[in-house]
Amino acid sequence: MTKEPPPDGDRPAPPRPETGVRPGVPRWVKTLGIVVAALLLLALIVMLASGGQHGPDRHRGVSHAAAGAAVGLTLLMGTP
Amino acid sequence: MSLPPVLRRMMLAVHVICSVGWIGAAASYLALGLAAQFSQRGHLVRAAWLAMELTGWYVIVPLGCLALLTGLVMALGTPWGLVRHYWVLIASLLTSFALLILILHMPSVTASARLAATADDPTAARLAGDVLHPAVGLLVLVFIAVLNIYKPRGLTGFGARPRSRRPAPAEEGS
Repeated sequence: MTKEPPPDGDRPAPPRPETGVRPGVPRWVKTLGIVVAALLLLALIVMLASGGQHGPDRHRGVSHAAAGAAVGLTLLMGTP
Repeated sequence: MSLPPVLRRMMLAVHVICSVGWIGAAASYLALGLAAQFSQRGHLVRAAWLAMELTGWYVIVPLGCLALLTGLVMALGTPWGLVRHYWVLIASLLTSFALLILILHMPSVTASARLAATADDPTAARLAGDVLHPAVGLLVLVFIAVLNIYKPRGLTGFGARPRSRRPAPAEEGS
């Protein structure tokens, strides 16, 4: 009876013999960290540039603030 | 702690179904958000916002919670561990972050859906859509899925430590 091979990537690779040297941070993790930091910075800049507004008001048409306010007023008044 | 093989397979199946389902639901949400953003037809914008609210609360949020929960159970119940490998740690952090942003964002979706529901057609047509959040979220989810498939190498400082250190005889006696 042949033994079924383990599925690819199902388990971590066996630990390597200890050499006393700690492995450094992999390059892909460093690259990812830089990309994430840049994206977070970009998001922060965009949020600050838009006046710090980050809520449902953003979904109202920017050039139609008056119409949005009218809808909001209608909601507040409770009339359809 | 190690999960029995049957339970591990079951958790893996639930995890894959929820994670892939989350991606599919996020893609559907993005389509609705694009329709709400670019359509000039009020009834379509209204329908899109109502569908986004329902999809968000009743499909995307539950799938996200289940994906995170089963992912944590899988990590802690298998030799991968939660903080031993960079890819597991990063996938868990990104999933938690995506779920947090989703839950924080959903009340604004509800508010917009209520606006759309009560507005007349011309006013509803002027409502903006929801594109940025689902688009970025979708990218993050696809990246997490790729991480889960490729499992890039790299042990964290915690994972590089010897897994079980037997106490020295002197320590045992004390």
